[in-house]
Amino acid sequence: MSVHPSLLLRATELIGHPVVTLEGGEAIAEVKDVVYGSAEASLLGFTLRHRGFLGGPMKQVLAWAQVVALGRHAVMIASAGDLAERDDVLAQEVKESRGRNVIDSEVLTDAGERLGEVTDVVILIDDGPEVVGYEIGGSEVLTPRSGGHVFVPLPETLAVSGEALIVPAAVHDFVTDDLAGFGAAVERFRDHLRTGSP
Amino acid sequence: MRRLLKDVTGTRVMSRASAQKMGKVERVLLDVPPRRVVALQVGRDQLVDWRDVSGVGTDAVVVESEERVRQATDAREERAMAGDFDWKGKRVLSDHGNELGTVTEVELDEATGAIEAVLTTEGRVAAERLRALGSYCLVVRHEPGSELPG
Repeated sequence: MSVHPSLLLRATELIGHPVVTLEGGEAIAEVKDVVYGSAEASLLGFTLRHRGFLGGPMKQVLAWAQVVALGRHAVMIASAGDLAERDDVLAQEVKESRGRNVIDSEVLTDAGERLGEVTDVVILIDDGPEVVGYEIGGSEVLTPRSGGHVFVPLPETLAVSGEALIVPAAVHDFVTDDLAGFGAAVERFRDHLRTGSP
Repeated sequence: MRRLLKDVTGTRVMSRASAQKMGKVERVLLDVPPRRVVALQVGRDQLVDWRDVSGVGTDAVVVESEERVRQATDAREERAMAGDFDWKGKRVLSDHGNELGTVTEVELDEATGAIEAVLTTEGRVAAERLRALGSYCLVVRHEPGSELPG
């Protein structure tokens, strides 16, 4: 089964999305930035700003665990009480995550080949949001024709540090250069890892 | 019988006790929950609870008596009377975070005041799917297969 491409989005696409309460139908904030973790497939949450043209930054942050749904048009949370003050646990993690952010990490295969750098995280928004891969930029090896961006599906096991991301050499066969082909690639790659066959 | 929101809005309001005209329906206050008419706004700043309405016809809305008229009692009612929760043109958002058009009309059961369905620019939404009404949007339950984002 392949994943419908419309169910995939880049984390950075969420910037500017309204944060809407399920129980109130109110837009209480807007996503200012995405906070990435250093661990595999981790998004810590979002920093927020007030809505509107002159919306300044908000003291509260939104932890990934409090997100009920991510859609094309809004980030859904249960109620306004789910926003945490900045001096909370998440805020601490946000602070600590600086400098060991997965974005800009070098991507290497386990065969020692450099694929590029992580430029974004790809999220599947089907039933409960899940990180399913990375967008890689500056990838001369994979896209010599354009030097453009490609998508690498997240394997079940993957080594990651603040420095680099190691992916199996087999990932080469599953890389796609657009999100539309990425859905199918995620499924194929996972099948491959499970069964050991292409 | 089924009636549309637009047919009730603007209708004259008559008192059953005095047979005199009390004004006209300025706005129908519908809320989610409870997915029904809560009150009718008569004129600029008066409310009549739905339970005090004895009939909603094509020619008039009949209220028990003039004494049933009241003012707003909480902040939500005040916001409703200022138009914060007006249905027409309201953005519809699924609980998965996808927009499903805007509200064009609401179908009501004139006997009970219950909302039967909401008509939107993208189709009909059954009342059972309504989750919450806010100034930003009407939140509706996601229906598998009914919304492919993007």
